[in-house]
Amino acid sequence: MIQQIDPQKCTGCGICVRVCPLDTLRLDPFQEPYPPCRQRCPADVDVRGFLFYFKQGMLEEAYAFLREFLPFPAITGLLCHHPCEKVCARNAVDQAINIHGMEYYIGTSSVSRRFQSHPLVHPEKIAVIGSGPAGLSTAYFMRKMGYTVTVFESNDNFGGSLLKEVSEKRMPLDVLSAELTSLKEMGISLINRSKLFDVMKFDDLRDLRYSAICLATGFATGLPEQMAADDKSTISVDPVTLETKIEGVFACGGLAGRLSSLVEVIASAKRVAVSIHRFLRKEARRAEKEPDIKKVTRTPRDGIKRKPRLEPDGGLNDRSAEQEADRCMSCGSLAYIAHPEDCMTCFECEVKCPSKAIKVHPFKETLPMTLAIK
Amino acid sequence: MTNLENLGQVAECDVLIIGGGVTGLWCAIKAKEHVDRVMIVDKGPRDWGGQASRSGGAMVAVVPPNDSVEAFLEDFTYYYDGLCDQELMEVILKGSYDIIKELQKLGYRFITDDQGNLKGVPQRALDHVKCYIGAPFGMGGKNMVACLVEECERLGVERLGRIMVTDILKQGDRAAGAVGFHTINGQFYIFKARSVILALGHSGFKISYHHNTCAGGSIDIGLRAGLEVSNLEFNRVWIMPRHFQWEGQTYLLPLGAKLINAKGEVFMDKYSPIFGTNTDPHFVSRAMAIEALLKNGPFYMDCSGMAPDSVEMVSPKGDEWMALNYHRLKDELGMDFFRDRLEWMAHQRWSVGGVEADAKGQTKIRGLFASGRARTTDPTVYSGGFSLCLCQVLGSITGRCAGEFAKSQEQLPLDGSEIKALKSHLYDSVGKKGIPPSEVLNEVRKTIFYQDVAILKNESSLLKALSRMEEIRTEIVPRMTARDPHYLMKMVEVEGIALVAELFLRASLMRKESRAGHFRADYPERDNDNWLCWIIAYQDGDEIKLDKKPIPIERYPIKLTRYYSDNFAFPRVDHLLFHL
Repeated sequence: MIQQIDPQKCTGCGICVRVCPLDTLRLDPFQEPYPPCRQRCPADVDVRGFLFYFKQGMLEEAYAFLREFLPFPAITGLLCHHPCEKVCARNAVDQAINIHGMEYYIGTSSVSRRFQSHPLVHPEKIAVIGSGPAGLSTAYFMRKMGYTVTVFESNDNFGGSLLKEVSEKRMPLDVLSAELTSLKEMGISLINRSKLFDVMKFDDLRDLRYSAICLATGFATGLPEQMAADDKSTISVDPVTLETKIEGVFACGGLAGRLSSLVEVIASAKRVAVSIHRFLRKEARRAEKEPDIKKVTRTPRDGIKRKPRLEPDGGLNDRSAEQEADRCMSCGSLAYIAHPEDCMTCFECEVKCPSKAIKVHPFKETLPMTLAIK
Repeated sequence: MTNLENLGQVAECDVLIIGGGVTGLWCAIKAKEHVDRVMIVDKGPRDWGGQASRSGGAMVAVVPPNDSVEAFLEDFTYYYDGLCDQELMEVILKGSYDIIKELQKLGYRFITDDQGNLKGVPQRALDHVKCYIGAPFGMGGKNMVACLVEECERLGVERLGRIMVTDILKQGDRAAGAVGFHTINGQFYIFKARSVILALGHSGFKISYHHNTCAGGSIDIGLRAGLEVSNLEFNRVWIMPRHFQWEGQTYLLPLGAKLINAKGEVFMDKYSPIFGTNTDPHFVSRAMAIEALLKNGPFYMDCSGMAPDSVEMVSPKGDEWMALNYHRLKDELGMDFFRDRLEWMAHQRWSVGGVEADAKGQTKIRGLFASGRARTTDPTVYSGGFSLCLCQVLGSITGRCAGEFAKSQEQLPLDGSEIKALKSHLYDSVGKKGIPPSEVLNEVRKTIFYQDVAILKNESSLLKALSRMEEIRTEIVPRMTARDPHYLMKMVEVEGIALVAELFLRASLMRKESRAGHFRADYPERDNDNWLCWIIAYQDGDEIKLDKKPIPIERYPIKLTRYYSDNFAFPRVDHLLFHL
């Protein structure tokens, strides 16, 4: 029977779980140390986790888990520059996992989205100015925390700079529309042709009883002079809380600092959401220092079979997505014996384990004896 | 009408193959010649290849010019004490050499002699039957599976793993699909298919090593679908080391190993002076059971008399499980297989019963086929390498026929309300408090494993066991529950196992004679007048009924002139059995 899986040696590649004919083993990917992909992601996306669910055939769970981190995975799947892929441990075996392809595939799948209902748990209303990626992301994270959120957009159409991606054919309009619909379904109010933006007077919003405001306009034009930073294109914010000089008014995205990528904008939105929450809950105003992240030190490499990266034109389909997800080595996960009584002592897990972490004892289970030996 | 998509994942194909062992893989390869959408579904990992992946890869075959179908058929009829479906066996034997050639084309290697001829090894002291050895020695099964999987991949056969099929869907007298569930995430699956092949293998009692996976599915699913099953009184009882597993015992005895009792005697010489231990393990286990009653147990395999070069030849090498197993026993547990006397034991492993079908595998439900070890070919006496022969030949024949059938037929509509009922019944016991499947399995084993039920069968012991099995069916099985989808799989397996165990007892009671692998201590003689027939079982309302089905011996080419069991003389021991 299987005797032990040495956690010091297990690199979490998941091969044993896959090959066990009796389905005796399980993988726990929710370990503290970050795999390389997550270490590198500004938005802290747990790639190992969402691909784990997907590999188990749990598409709904994969989608829900991915959306813990990302407001609109279909859009980021297409537009993010995916620094995670550059550091993927699979590069040392053959090629990185097609993480953006998986994100897009899961983000556009017709999975049931009922788990998206997030109950209101706070009485305050939040106003977000601007419906570009920063505004939509802030609205998303705040709505997820249980606040009432309204997004004000001065233009006819929502999307801000994302509309430019559509017009320049980097993203189909369908994808943007679908993600906007899914944000609306969460209960976020989106108001277009809003004049509020032109005559920005923050007392007005207070009159409408908004408890906090997040500016996510991308540029500083039209904002009160006293908020502007030295270079005039951004505004001056507290570097930790992203609060402007006016109490209760926050800013994120390109407006709050020079950001070079979409995923950094999302990271900044997440940060401002946490900061507004702390402000409203009267928690310590200054965000604590980022905790030191534990990192996975040994990633699987030796003994992993080479399998080409799948990146077909037109995106992954059901079949290729499954194969591609299967290439993920789930770095830093731990395999464990979930059903020891089912082991049939076939040694398959030990034979296939690339890191020699598994030991099978040659003795089989004790059976009722057929011969009564006196 | 219920929308199927709301009930579960819907998958559509032309030919659905249940079971991804060598049988299923061959079915798929051949079905692909006729239709496009061929799908294999297996409850184990995708592409693991079933039990063949752990076999030696040797197969019985009729290889010209030295072998002949007639000679093999005569051997098997004799070996099976006449209980041989000669028409089916002829089909299997005739197709065997083609399989060897096709396997070689796919890259599988057989061991050859200096002249390049395939290396055949005679079996069980039979005159003609030979088994051809695959490479590498004793571990070829894995390579065979790899070759077939690669071919399926090349042909575009869809393969799904970790999905357990529980029921066949029918419309009238025709198959229309199947339902099942994912054993990890619990998702319900609905398969639409024009033809369906049962390729799930035999019905085991889940004892260690490679026969731990097949668990009564063929018989359970088959009976519920309305098929007949037969040969349920024959269970495979194998002899093996008591504590660990050893593959390749067939090769040990001819090389000088001895199976001895506690007194150090080669006890088989007493029961068969002609064959000694070099015979079918069912006769050896019968002798072991008698010796145990005479207080001559336990039993040991003594390899110390083997010549060093023989030991070298059969010593496990490489980095596969047998080598790991051997060295760990030797280095960490101090058990040297070739030096020490290690205890061996007889074990009840599986039922050889299977689904009734014609030579092409077509059952009485149109579009529902059965293939490989989901069928039954023998009264449990077994010639090494025969499974791989029958699974591959029947797999290729059935695959072709199921493909042709699917090509000529439309997909039938599925009945949403029936599927809904099956689904709610399936998930009914998930997450509830109750008896875990492993506990029920142990009760079943305790009931049918002991020697007076498994080997030296007799009416009083069988009746006692049957009454306990009926109690298990009515009182325990209905209280079995599953914590999660993994245990739901175990639960469905145990339901099948309990059914097979009970039918084993009923059929064993019914056959009041001894023949081939069935030995009644209270009816030790063969009785051709009453029992030259099969026992078939079929569902009749809520009941499963047993019936006799005569062997059409007048139609068969080989007449009965000699019987393998005549080479043995076992003393009457029924008086000793009462003291157990």
